[in-house]
Amino acid sequence: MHIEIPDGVLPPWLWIAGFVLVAALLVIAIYFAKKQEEKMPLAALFAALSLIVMSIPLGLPVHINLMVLVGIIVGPWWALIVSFIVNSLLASIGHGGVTVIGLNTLLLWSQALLGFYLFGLVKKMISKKSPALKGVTGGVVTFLSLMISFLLLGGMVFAINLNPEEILIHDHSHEHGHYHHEGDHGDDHYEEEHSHEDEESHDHGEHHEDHEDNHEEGHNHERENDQSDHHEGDLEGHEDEEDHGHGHSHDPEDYYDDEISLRAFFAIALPIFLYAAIIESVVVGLAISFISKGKPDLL
Amino acid sequence: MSSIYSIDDFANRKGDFQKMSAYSKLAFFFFVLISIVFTESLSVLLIVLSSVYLLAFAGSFPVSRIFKWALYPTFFALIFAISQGDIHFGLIILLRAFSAASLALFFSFSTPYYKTFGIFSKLSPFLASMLFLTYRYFFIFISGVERKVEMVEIRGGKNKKLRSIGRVVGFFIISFLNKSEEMYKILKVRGFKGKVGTAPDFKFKLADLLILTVAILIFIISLTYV
Repeated sequence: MHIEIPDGVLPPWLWIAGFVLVAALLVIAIYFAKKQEEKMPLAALFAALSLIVMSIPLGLPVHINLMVLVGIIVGPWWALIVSFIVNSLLASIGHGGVTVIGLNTLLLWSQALLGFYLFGLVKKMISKKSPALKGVTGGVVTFLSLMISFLLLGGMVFAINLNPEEILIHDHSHEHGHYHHEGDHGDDHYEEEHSHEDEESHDHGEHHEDHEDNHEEGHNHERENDQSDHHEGDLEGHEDEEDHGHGHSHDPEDYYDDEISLRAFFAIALPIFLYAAIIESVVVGLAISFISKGKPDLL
Repeated sequence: MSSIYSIDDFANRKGDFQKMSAYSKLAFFFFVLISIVFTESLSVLLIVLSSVYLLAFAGSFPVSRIFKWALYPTFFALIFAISQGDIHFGLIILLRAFSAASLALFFSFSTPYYKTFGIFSKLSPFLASMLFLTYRYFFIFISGVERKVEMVEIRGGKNKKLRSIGRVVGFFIISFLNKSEEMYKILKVRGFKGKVGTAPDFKFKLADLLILTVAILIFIISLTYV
């Protein structure tokens, strides 16, 4: 089960990073998959079955996808390929975004990966136990895998508010003790900013207006830049604190927006996710129990 | 997933949009998608959305179905939009998700899957083969699954729906595993070497020029009003 991230929600740096990471992982996955080419029909079967079970109505706009079961049966590399195929086909019908195929693939794969390793841990212990017990174990493993992958999704929501430029500027300033920027904004702007910093280091409002006029950036970036400006002001004002080696020097207020975002996200998404995770755990548990009766060598 | 049935049916009809080159439609798709994802202007998003629905209407595609199905990802976008706690940015997120989903559906309704997979096979023949196999298995298995679920319900399994789903899933994994292996062996006998798809030929017509012009116009507008 997963909450599909649609297009236009996440910042480009995040979904581009997701694509790059998945592309690199897919190269490795295909290399290993070609060595076990006989698993191709099984993997395609699971991809098709995963798409089919998604049509089962659960009452809420969420669905099960069996990725944990896929991970347990076909292994982690084939599961990555299945996850990519499922997300690509889903994106083609508007479920989940095309730009976020990479991140959605990673989210689904995390479930399969966790399922594979968690079930692998207890596999030997339950190998001679009853199918019912194997089913219960499968259900518990599924539930744990899904909940951990939900935390990853929360991490992505947190990342919406992160600005990599801000982090880069900070790291650089931390090393050299002054600001230097190589990004889109251009050096002139930052030199100007630097020359006024002594006057404005505590006046974030005016600083923000300058920033806004110079760039005419959109709303999201304004918010990010606003945080960035606060951050730069803090850098000047709290250099001593930073010298102690902390990665970020935000005031507690700077985190306020992020906390609200995460809190709101968890408040809305967690009950829905929990509901679907319980259903998927039961379904996977029953499926494992059935498979261990009919074809135990598959597990 | 009856939506895939319906999409496949429309995509294989002989309409004007279906006849256009898959390459042109893919270019249209990516130009417009980039415009959607990068713009922060509500006006641009509304222009994009209107253009997509106008094209869908002109091509006699099921506009109401596209609208209804595009609402599904918008619900997920709503979770993210509310989390942002900002009305303007929230609206942008919702419109982006809705427009992108509508665009994806318009593309799928107008382009048969095998043509898209064929283009994809130029990037990765292995993944394109997996897409073809999945697509093939989907249509083979879905009717079987539907029949089985119906049978379970008729036999009184409706009140134990969850248990039935679990058993049906287990049953299908076992029974279709044999079937899928047989199909794979048949493919191998027929000379399958991990490559199924062939990319469609590129034939540029006046209609292709029109759709590309629309895409480039939308792209320029989105660049102007970022």
